[in-house]
Amino acid sequence: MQVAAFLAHLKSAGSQPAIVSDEGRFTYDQLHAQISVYSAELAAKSVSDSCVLLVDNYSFNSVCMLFALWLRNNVVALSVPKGEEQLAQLAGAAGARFSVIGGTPELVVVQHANPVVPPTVDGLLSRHQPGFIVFSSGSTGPAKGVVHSIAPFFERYLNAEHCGAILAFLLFDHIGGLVTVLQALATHGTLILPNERSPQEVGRCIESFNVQTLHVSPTLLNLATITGVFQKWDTSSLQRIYFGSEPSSPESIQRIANVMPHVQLQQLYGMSEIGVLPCRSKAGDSAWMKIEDPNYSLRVVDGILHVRGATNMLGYLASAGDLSSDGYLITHDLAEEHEGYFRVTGRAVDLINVGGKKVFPSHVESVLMGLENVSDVVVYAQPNPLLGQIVAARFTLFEPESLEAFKVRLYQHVRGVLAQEQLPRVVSIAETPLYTSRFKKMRHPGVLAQS
Amino acid sequence: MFNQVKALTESAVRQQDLLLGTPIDLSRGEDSRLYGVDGSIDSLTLVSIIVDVEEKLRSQLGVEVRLADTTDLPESATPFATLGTLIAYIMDRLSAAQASVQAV
Repeated sequence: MQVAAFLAHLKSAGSQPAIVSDEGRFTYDQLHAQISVYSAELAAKSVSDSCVLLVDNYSFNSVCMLFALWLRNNVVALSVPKGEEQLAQLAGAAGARFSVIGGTPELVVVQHANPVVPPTVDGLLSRHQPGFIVFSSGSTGPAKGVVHSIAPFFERYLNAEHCGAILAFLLFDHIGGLVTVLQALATHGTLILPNERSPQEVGRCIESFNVQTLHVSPTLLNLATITGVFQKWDTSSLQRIYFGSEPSSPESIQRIANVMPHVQLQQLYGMSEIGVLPCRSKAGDSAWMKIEDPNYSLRVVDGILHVRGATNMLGYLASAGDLSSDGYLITHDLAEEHEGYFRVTGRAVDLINVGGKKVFPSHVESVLMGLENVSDVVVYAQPNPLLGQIVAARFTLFEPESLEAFKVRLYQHVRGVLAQEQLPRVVSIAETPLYTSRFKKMRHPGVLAQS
Repeated sequence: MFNQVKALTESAVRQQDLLLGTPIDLSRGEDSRLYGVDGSIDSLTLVSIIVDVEEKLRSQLGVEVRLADTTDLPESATPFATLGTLIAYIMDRLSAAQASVQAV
């Protein structure tokens, strides 16, 4: 589906509320009008048929700008505000000719000289097809840009489940955040924008704006439950909760079901490379899922989940990605299959998922190795009931040092250098080497515990 | 025992100040808000405190206590709301762990 046709569909909702926040209440008519205004401004500045880095958070204006950029046949790389150097890196990696910086009343467009456009992006631009790029990690390590055409997403969400008023809790530059916008608007629902990402804000928004659908991580649900969010605020409007993006324990899901028996809990499976799949949970066990949309097919090969569907990525910025010979995306997620249902049991690689934020062990290790008296360090995921996983670090030292004293030095060393989710919360000192006889780091905590 | 647990809990909370821009406010003693409604710390800091307390209980008292898993508590329980509720929660877990060791 073309952008103009999708926008005509949005306009047909007329005076219904499209976007609501403390900033105001905006109808589909207003949404459509503002998109037209931005489109004209972009045309005047020749921001068309280009790769564009859009730097913004959720707002009425940022959503309008996103659609206006697509209407001008741009491929939009998404980023929340970051440091200048990081944004320059993202613009360079994507081959952006322009950056559009949001958050100000005036349209701020920065032009980049002589961008080198990656083949995946160039393919879209040469066919005058709008698209988007999401970076699979932001500040937590080397950014990996995933390139998509937008048209299959429009098709997918025109046929999506009606969500009513849905809270836009996931990040603006995250695939989950983007599809929340598309599902809300394509089904003529209402996108509710929070002021911040916190469990209490979720409760406040549900009560203030009669939120019917949440799309959040299991960690958020768990934190909201243990801090009494669902008791403090009136959440009677809530009808369904989508959760995904990280492993979830059956105990914590059951706990939420106990607190809110009237709410339908729906586990989803998705990743930047394929979007969020239309899943249906097995009765009584939401961990087992089935895809009933004929546009998608799944299979488990050697314990790894393979997916093929309309919203598969076109490729990464720097490579084609892992595809089977028959076009399935090899997800590197460990999965099981039983009677047509599948269940994801973990990530095959060593990424650490701290409350939905991904942390690259190698990046943290590189910082920790700069600490005086450290001879080696291995960083690995430690399971945690509150956050899913936390970062653990095991060190070997040149000279003996007490753990207490070492931790004080460590905390002073990493403060302001590592992001909060990257900080090692479990710290230990080992007497034995942290690598195998083949000189590979032992990241599995079970192996480390025995060493 | 209570005083020892209180001291090591306060020490674990204070240790987080090294990682934070603003020190955690414990001026209201056991009524100092920690995590939850009107709390002063985020979830990562809470987890850090819990891990530090578990480690101190292990090294100072020789007891293995798991504090982060609250799934067996009543749904209305808010063990991390204040310094006082946290200490009380740790005392409960510690007593249970010591009782199970004695039973064996």
